Amino acid sequence: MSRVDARLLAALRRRLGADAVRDDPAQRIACESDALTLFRSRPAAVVAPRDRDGLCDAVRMLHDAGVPFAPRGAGTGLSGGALPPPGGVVLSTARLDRIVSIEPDVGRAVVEPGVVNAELSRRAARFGLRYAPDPASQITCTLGGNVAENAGGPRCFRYGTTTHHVLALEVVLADGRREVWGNPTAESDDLDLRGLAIGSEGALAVVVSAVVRLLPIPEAVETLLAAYPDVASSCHAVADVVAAGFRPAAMEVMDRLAIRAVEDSHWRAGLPTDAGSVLIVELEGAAERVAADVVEVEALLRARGPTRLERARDEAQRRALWKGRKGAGGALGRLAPDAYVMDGVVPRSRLAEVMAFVAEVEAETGLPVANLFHAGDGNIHPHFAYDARDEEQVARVERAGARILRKCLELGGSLSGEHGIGLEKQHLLELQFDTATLEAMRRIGAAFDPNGVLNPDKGLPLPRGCAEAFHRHGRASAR
Amino acid sequence: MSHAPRPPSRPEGRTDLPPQPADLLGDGLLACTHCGLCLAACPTHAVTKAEAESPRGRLFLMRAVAEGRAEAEAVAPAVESCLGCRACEPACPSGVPYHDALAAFRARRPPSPTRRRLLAVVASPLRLRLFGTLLRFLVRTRLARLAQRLGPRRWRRAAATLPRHVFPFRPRPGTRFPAEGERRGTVHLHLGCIHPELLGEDLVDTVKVLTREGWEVVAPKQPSCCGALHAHAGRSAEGAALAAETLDALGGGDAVVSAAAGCAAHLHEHDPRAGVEELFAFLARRGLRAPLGPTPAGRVVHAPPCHLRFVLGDDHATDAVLARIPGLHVERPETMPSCCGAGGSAFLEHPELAADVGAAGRDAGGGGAPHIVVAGNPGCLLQWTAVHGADPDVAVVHPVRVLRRAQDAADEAAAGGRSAAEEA
Repeated sequence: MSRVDARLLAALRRRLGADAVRDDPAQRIACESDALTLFRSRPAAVVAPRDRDGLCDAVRMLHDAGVPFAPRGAGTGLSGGALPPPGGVVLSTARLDRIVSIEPDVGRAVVEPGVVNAELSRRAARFGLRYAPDPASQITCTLGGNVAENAGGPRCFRYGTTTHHVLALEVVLADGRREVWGNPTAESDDLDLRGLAIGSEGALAVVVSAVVRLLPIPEAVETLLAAYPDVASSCHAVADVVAAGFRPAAMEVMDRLAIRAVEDSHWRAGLPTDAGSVLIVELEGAAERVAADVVEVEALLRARGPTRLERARDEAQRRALWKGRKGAGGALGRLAPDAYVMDGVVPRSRLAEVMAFVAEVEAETGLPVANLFHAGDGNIHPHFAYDARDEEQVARVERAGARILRKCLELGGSLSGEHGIGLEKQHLLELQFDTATLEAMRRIGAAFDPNGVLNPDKGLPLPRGCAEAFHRHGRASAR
Repeated sequence: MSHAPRPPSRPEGRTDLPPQPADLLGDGLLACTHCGLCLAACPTHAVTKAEAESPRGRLFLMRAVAEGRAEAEAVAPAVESCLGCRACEPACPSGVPYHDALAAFRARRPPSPTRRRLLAVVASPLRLRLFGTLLRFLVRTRLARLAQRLGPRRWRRAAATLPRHVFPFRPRPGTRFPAEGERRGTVHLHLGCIHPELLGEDLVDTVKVLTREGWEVVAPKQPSCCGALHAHAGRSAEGAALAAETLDALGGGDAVVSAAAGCAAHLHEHDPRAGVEELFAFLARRGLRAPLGPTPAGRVVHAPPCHLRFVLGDDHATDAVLARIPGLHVERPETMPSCCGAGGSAFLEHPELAADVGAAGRDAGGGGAPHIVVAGNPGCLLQWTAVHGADPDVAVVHPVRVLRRAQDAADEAAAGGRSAAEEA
């Protein structure tokens, strides 16, 4: 593996412009972590091309020089997917932020990878359209990053994750060649490379542009807020709603600690701070249908004995509720110096069980855990509040996280709902997949990236010991 | 007259969550969870898209320094490129006291020569007067225009911020301007530093608007700088001392008002009980009495000063007051960056970045169509002047000047009506 040297940087600067290649300490340190601060790795440089041709040339030049790199959008990923490989660089797609076109009549848009998720919906709104996947970080996160991690969000219960909304990808391969994967107009019959790329964390190719689906903004929306004395009641209520055949746009649960963190912040939403949990259910669709459904869903929620049950009065209250829900992760920063947000999935019917297990782990670990999760999907997000300056706490958090993920698998779930595997969970992959499957994944990776420069060591299982090279809190951060 | 109590500007800590550990970074760095929601609010990140030039990136760098993983000098350029607009604070779910962290970082380093000189000038009434005279001389002799064309790069940008028309307003200390009509009360008017030296017409109009509204206006007992720039530069003690002096020189009346949002914000944060109000917030709260006539202004783009929005939370008062003017169309472009790029003295220290941020604001405001940009703060006015350059279609003014015109128009209409009646 070659190192980043002055000649390479000079060549990149000549091609991309001096402002696109930065190797001063501030730029390098700032990109040591994405939103998962459990790990740090210092890149040798941050390369941020201004346009698509520049991006392709940057990939080719880094590949030719044998320099590994991690693509990075807004750095809001929670599994360490944008962490630079040791000795490598960060390839930022953030400046490629143009919405190339919006075609309202066919309901699609062509975007560059650095376009911010919420910005696309904002621009599409004037045509009565929106981009459905809505990660909590949607005001900041980029569509390129969404593709890399197959990002989700509350609405994905009904609408599916990123992969259901990307029709085609223009990608650049490791050697700089550009290809279009997928078909912008129809389902492809051939090998679904588009599907393969989504969620591959930049290990197969880098997104140059994407053709994404835009859906009509529904005619009517009703948002219900139910407060229960405990978390289990919320989980049961969610199961009841789905069992009765309803498909709400979203079903979100927050526990007491999460509620209180939100209510303590600028993002407070008027949630009852004495509740054991709150459940937010959003119904949307044709006005008549929603009006009928909301009454029945309310009855189901009431049957589980809520301490409070109400409909959002207006758009302002609905917005406040969602703002509170989406700011909850960040709001937990007020509990302790650091936060570790986990992501795991269980079958919906096992939610109450896994939450009881999380509570058990919390008690054993002795660190506060807040829970906010996409209950409709069985997608849990325990947030550990800890102090990274205390090595012993870090070790406890890591052990606790692994235990919870093992439990998810035991209950028939999976390691990731929407955050991806990244660096965080690759050591657990062998628990979910058998050797043959893992080997198949490795071979796919090697087929696209024989020299191992494309975000190596992410998502795919590593030989034992390699993960140590990154390890947490920069013990081995590349200088 | 008593004031309605103002809601606290930082409504934090409403529930009984355990407090953060107060050790190490007492500056609040530890509250950041690195979620990234602040990136969308940051005007420098919007133009550079660099993590190091985002609030989260800067906090990460400051933490790296505090934990001994980075040298302060090495990361300073990125941290110092912050405009200090504080848009990231209300965007932060974790309540990171960003400006405290930034001030603490700056306090540990010597200020840049530019900043040091500027602070020395504004804090001394005599030096300020000399500096003001010099600047006015440069503008009136058109030497400033020459420097803008031919000077070294640093001068060019600084010269571009100078208004084309300058006018000092230095009333004798303690001057009382009587209320017109029935007197509603007394307003102590904070004049500011550079504002009365260069853009005195804003203050003339402020006095006129207030007296027409029935307020007696009193000039401060002595000229004084509010200390905002010092606080901004991390020199909190000096910032506080100057604020205290300023409040002292103003004296207590029915109200203490500033036409400079930056000063109002700093004085309010220094002592919320002093009841300092930004001019338009004051007017909106007390209600307008004087009639307003139509002005030929047409389309007005309001670019609210960042501290009016994020510290005082009073930015909508300006829209509300201007909206009362018949025929005036006031816009607040959705994509307007949270800061014009002036950022205290940042536009002198990082001229390129300031220009890029300003250009983003210009584009958001619809640069092409003729319009008036209003911003109620002298620093913003200088920056917007530079941003719009010689564009003949765009005028940059303090909103009080638009309001004054509307009052004049109503007066003229009334006088016209009277004389017509007399003739009849």
